[in-house]
Amino acid sequence: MLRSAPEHEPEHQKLGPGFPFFRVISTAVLVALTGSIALLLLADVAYTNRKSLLEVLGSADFLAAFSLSLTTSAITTLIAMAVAVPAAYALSRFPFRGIVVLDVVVDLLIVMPVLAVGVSLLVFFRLGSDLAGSSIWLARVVGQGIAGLGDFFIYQKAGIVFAQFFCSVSFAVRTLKSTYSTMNPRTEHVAMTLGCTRWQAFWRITFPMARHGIMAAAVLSWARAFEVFGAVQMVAGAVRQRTEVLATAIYLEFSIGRIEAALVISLVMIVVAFLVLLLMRLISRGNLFGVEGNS
Amino acid sequence: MIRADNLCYSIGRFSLQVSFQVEATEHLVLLGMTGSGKTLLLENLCGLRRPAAGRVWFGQQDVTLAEPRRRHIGYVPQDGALFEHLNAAGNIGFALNVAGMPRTKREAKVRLAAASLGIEHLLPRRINGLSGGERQRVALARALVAAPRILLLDEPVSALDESTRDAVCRELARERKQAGIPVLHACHSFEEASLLADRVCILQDGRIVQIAPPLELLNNPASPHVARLLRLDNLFSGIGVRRDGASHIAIGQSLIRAPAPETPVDLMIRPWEIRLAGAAVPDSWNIVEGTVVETVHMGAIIKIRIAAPLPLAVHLPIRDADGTRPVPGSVMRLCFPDAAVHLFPHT
Repeated sequence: MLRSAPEHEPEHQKLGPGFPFFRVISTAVLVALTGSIALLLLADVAYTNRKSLLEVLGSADFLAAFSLSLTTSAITTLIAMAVAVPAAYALSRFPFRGIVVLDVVVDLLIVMPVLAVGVSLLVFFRLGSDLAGSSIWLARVVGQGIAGLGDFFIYQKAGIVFAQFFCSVSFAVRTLKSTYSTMNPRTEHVAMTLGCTRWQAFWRITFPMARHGIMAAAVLSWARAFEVFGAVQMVAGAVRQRTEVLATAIYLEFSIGRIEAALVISLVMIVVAFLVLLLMRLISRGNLFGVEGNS
Repeated sequence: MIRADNLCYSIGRFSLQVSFQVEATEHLVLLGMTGSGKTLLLENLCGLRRPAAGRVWFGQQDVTLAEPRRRHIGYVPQDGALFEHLNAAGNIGFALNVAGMPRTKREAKVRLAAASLGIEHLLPRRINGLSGGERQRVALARALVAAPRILLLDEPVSALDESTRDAVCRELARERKQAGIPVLHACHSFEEASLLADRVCILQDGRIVQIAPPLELLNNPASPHVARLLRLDNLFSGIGVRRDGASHIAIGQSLIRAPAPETPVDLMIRPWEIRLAGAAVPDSWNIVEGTVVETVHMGAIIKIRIAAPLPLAVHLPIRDADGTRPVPGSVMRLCFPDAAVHLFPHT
């Protein structure tokens, strides 16, 4: 039997060498954008000296903040993905009247300033304390529960994860919803006719087919959790070697006039973020410096 | 055997309400326009949608409320819906894998299923690299590998070019014969239906309007809608009258001889029963003279459309037509017997 040519040639290859003008302009814009970002980083490097670099990197405060940042952002990413994978699936696959309201509420966390998220979390726990003193039994029980949670989170390491979660989960949900929506639901239908339950169809078909989207959602979620500052500081505070993450450390160093130390920590955050993003790309695409496909 | 007893399903303002039966080794084609309810019906039979009323039987088993996985069906949806994270072998062997079949046995079965469709060489290939015909063959092998008791196909070849479509249809017919199972196959092309169908079921707005073998359908469509769906020409509305003691039908300014009640009628003049009017035309035959406005070559048949008070389309074997040079603008005389006139049942 004759073998046919593949019909799924990557789109960028189909365009071939045509449209040189548009290609040059758009590439120039891309280079200008990345160049300006690189200039910002170079400015940071220019104001950093070897002495302050070694001093900061060797300090116990920095090492504690660095370790806490990596740990909390990783835990936050896992929790955010555990929530986002089913929530985005429900948004994409199980529509019902009024679901658009839920969709907008999820998006709300993306546009809300992180400080507003932090304030809302604090007020929520305050509400719990107030309700705990209520004369109504149900309100008192609920209030005591919320107040108990407040004790667990406020000014505690767990509060860092809590604040990071609310600042990052919507990015994961949004990315995953787009991924699911572009996937053919008939693949799950076929899987169900081939012996799968609905859950098995999701786990064996949709989940692996959505792997690139899941990876992208995890990266976005992690990046947001890693860099978020305002909400974390409001919920968990900024106690050295206790609830201080790298973003908080930059603020603390800056507030006491140690600009070089703040710059060093900024650079560390940038380098870590760059390496993680690059690593994720490598894992999901299997391709480092080559031309990427449209997968 | 598949049987649907008064199967009802509604979605929005569309409602599906059908009863039919597919015999044990029959290939029934569901033919209907887009939006007629073909896919909805198949999804109800798959168990992907729950009917509001009615029963579905596979053989002696009532499967109306059974989960899709308990129905033991082979389902090929419109686009194949292949699992792109698996290669062709992974796709074909998916049902066996879910059932927990040991690897060596599974691989042997997959190879056998692939070989019967001539796609053994595709087994290690990624799905993204396959052509349309190859994808459909993989989807078909995936549906057949676990020996389903019925096969449900939703426009399985409509996206393919004609020669690939014909090849896949031939393989489909052979597989069906080997498997000895009933097949319900939705499509919107009568040509595809006539390649495979034992009977064709016409679906219109969620209702079955006619079930018949392809030839019977072609000769006696139940309504102008069915005739249009089969892409038949020469559909007219007229009124039965008696002239000179004989039954005629008045169509606009034209009058043709044909038995008809003296009431308004919808009719079709079968294009393949219209001939070129030679020197000797029987008196009882109708004669129409007109100017050729269009000629379309359809393989060994040429379809000629003439402009006349009774505008007709005629299908002529190309050898007959060649002698008359039916170029647009030329004058042509056509004739047909009253038996060529098909009256649609009054509705």
